[in-house]
Amino acid sequence: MMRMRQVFSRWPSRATPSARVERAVGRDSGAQGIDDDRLPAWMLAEPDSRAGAWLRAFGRAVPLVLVPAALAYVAGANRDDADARLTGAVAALAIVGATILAARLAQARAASAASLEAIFERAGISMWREDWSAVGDAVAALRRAGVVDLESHFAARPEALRALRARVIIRDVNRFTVEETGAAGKDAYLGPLDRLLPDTDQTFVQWLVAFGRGDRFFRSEAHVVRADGRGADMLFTAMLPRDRAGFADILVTALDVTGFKQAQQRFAVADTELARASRITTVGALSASIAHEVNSPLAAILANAQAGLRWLRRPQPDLAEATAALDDVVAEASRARDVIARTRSYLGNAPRASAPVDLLRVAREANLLVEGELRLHRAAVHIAAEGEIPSIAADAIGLQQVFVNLLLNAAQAMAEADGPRDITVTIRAAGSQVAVDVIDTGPGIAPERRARIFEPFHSTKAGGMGMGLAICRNLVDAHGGDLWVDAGPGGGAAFHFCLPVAA
Amino acid sequence: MTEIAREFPAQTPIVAIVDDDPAIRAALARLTRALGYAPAPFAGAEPLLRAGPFSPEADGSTIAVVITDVQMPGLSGLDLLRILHTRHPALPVIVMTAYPSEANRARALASGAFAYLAKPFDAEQFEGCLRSVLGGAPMS
Repeated sequence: MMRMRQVFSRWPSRATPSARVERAVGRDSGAQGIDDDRLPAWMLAEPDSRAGAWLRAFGRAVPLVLVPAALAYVAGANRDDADARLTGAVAALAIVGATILAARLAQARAASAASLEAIFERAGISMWREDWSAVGDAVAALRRAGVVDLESHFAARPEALRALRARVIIRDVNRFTVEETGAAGKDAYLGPLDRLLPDTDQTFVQWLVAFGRGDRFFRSEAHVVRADGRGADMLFTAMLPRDRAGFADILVTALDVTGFKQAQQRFAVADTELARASRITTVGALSASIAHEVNSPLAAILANAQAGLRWLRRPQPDLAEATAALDDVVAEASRARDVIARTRSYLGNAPRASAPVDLLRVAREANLLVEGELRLHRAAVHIAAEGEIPSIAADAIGLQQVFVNLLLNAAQAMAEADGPRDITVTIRAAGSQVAVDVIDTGPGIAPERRARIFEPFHSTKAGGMGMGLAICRNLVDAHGGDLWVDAGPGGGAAFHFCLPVAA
Repeated sequence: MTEIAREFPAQTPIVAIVDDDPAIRAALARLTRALGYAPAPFAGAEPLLRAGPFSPEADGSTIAVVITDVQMPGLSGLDLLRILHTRHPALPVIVMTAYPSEANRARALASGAFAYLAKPFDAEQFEGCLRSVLGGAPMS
């Protein structure tokens, strides 16, 4: 069975769970992370603070001084003055030596700190030092309390997620960060992370998932808003801490991929346009051919029927002519019926390629497709799967269309809403079905309107065709499922659909 | 064609029906007969042009009107229209099609078609066309 919960990353490579790395490198902290129920290695690691390191260094230095001193004392007690003086001198020498050694070590340490600092400042890539202590504590507390699926946990608690985001502090950024973006100074970046990460961000929760799972590194693309208000797409990567103390100083590298993203988007738009154009051409050719195929028997039916009527209405009705005409009417009507049946079977089989579909992935892909538009509506999407989701036999493109329509519908419904604009998508197994909820924090849909919104050409939007939800219902119906709407817990609209699991 | 025409009195106007679809041919022939005209069905433009009335030495005057489909294997209805228009400028030609389009209609009328009918059409439309071409009531 495929792992359904995976790191949300628009980048091809995904973060590696610690277990795999630990196994390859060594077994210092045991295999963690493969089984979701086990706590990640960093939560179990002994505290390895600076004070501890200093104490160990001190422990090593103490014998250096104490052993010669003790030797001198012992020797002095038993030997004559000359020997005592000699051992005293040796002890003094040892103490001086130890002091010099300590001073040199301190000097070397200072030099290495300075050179690390220089590397940080002179590196030709943007680097940020961030304090994630509050997040580390929160993740540890949740995992210890038995919460395994952090994504679902926070999907249901968007406010808690926002609060946590405000508690991640950017402590420092390197010079390249400032130079690259032309910021006035480091101050433009320093402070809480939520100043940079807009409310529509979907990647923050994935950091929590990675921490909770004990991943060794994290990589994700996020849309940030810089101090000057300009948006940028950044690829963030970081080695994740190996113990609790490490959360206080996570080094994150940031690569500006805005240009790449724009090119990608232009390509996607061109691709969609091309697909649409070819679909229109196909539909045009198809409808012309259907028209011809159906119009011909219809023309024969009409001519025969009217000829038959004329033969019957004559003063002396010609029954033989009328009968022949009616026979042909029947034959041509069957021909028209066959044309329709053939067309339906052709249309029914061609585009609906049914294959095992991972619904969570479909939802995420749909989300990426309309990411820009959702951002414009300032809607934050939270997608989560509860437990393992069995794959369903379906047409992935059709279901993607369902998610796209529901997401856009929710974002548009919240366009006038004050306060948070959250769209929560939850996917779960329910018996022999997979159930999906798409819940928004908009004004909701009045009970008397709920049936009508699924009718074709029902639209409340200027310029809207009112086809979106009708198409959704048709697509879900075609998969043997059901789609309906009621009110969400916060009074917004809650769309639900369920689809049968693959046999 | 001659067999069909023979069933009618000598002065009965002959309507040539050109369509590759046998069902349409038969239906229009039946309707034409019910309207009191003599139908002469042809499966395409070539058989019509090979027929006696249109042979190079004849003047085509035995046929009163030609009604032709546009989309046919071989010569199309529009090709036939142009040929007839050149050889027999006085012969009215009605064009019909199951792919109605403004472009086709304009092309047909520009090439000298008397009328343009979109399939499926009403008997009244058909009859109206024939009457205005042939003038007056046919013998019944």
